[in-house]
Amino acid sequence: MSGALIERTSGYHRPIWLTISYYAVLAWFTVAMLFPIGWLVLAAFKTNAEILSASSYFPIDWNLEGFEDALTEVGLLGYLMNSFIVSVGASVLVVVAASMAAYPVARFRFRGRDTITILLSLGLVIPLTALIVPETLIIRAIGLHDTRIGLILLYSSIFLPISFLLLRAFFLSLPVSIEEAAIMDGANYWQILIRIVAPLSGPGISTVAIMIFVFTWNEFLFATLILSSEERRTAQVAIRFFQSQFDFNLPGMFAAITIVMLVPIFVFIILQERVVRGLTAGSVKG
Amino acid sequence: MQKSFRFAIYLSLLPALALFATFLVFPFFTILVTSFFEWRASGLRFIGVENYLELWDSRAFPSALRNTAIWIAAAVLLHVPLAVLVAVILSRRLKGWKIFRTLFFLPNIVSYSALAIVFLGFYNARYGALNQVLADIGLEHWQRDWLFSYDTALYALIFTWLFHVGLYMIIIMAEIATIPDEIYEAAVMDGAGEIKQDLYITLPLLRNVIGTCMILTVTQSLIYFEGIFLTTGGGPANATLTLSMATYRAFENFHWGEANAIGMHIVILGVAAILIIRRLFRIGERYFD
Repeated sequence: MSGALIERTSGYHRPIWLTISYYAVLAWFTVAMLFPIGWLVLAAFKTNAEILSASSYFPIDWNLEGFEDALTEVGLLGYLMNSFIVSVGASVLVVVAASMAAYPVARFRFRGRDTITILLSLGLVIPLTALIVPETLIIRAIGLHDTRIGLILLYSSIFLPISFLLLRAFFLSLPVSIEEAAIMDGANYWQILIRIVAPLSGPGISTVAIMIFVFTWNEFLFATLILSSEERRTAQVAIRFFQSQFDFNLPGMFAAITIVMLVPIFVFIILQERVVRGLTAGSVKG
Repeated sequence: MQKSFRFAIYLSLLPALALFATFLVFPFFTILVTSFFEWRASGLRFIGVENYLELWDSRAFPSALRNTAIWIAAAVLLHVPLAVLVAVILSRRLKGWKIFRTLFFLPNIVSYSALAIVFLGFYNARYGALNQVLADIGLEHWQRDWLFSYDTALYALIFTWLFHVGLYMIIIMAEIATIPDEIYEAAVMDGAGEIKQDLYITLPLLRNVIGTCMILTVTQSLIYFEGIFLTTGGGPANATLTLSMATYRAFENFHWGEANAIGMHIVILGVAAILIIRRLFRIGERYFD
């Protein structure tokens, strides 16, 4: 499957103008996507006066004061820690809940199975911003307003449909023979799920967990609605207050943004192949 | 054999179904019902379709509808085609294609809230990169306060995500990789160049996946929020007010019934868009086991 296109084009020589056009398009996209972000990252190394004078794209000398301010002045480390706790908590919870639901749906015939799949697929397209009033009030009603647990529960629900569908596709791709043998040997449902299926599902489960980690790390709206006190703020919520907190310290603010952006990029670069495979596996199965 | 498993299976489904029911199904029916109520912090009062009538009569709501429509049009007519363009080119496995694939995906994993600050700086009237570039290439007279001028604000915001095609690019590239080689070999024998192959072979075969991307992008457009909230807040003079921004405004002003009526518009538009796209692209005629 992969590498197919190299064979496809053998015996065919691409004219030079086409090659140039291809790279021109790629260069155009690279600039359109990365210039604004790159500009901000570079500006984080400038001084305030240098940014305001808009004189050059690159810093005159690379100073790290912005990064020092970002880490010491506004409690960024605390916000990053909050984000980390919430994202890890939500990833674990959603993977456990979604696996426990996706496995039987992928493997067994029971009443309501197709209804569950259809319902959860519909959940994928519910426009969540439409639900901000009830979500906020439910969290308040169960006494979880301004708690990380409340946000973790909400995230687990929001990302449940996508996790369920990806994991279902994954379980469908696993061979059934080992499970059948285990059933013959008299293993019960939980033994099969925990001792046999879970250890075999490392790739699928970790893909979903990484994706949910990145999604929840980046989520802003519900974090803003649920977490009101400063000491529980996630990094994304904190961004909202950066402008007033950093007051006219632009390098500090840009450095803080750079740090917040770096975490998911780091996660992605390390685990790239796995994430790409996970995304495409899910999409092909619908 | 399966009979003895039945209880365990239902137990196993329980956590997911409980989360789903509490935080997705129940809120959904809540907004459906309460969009017919006057709902403020003080209490609920049934008022029929008055929330809807007031919305359609207000000055802000039509702007929100119009801006959302422009937003969706940009997503469907520009964003997804750009993703197809990049995916088709990268699928030709040019030198360095893997690096470009990674580069193009990176903006998709940066949060919209961080990007909001990136673009606040990028568009800034005084020190922003865009005006700096314009000055450097001698177009000073084009300089303006991009995010806070009525005429440019909405388009400036759309530009912030228009080229971030990484996710759809990857989905489409995966689909291209599944097209059998024989089809292309025949075309090459007939002397068809790459552009002809892409137009007459690849594109038609991507119908399903393009439709899927369109559905995803419309849903995304309808709920996009933080990039507006953290930059223009819907202004100037509602120039960037979208349905989701309007929902948040109503929520913040404790007009919960109104917020939910706007929310219902988002839901209905989303469902309509999905049905239309499924129809147009005849999605589901191949997959879905």
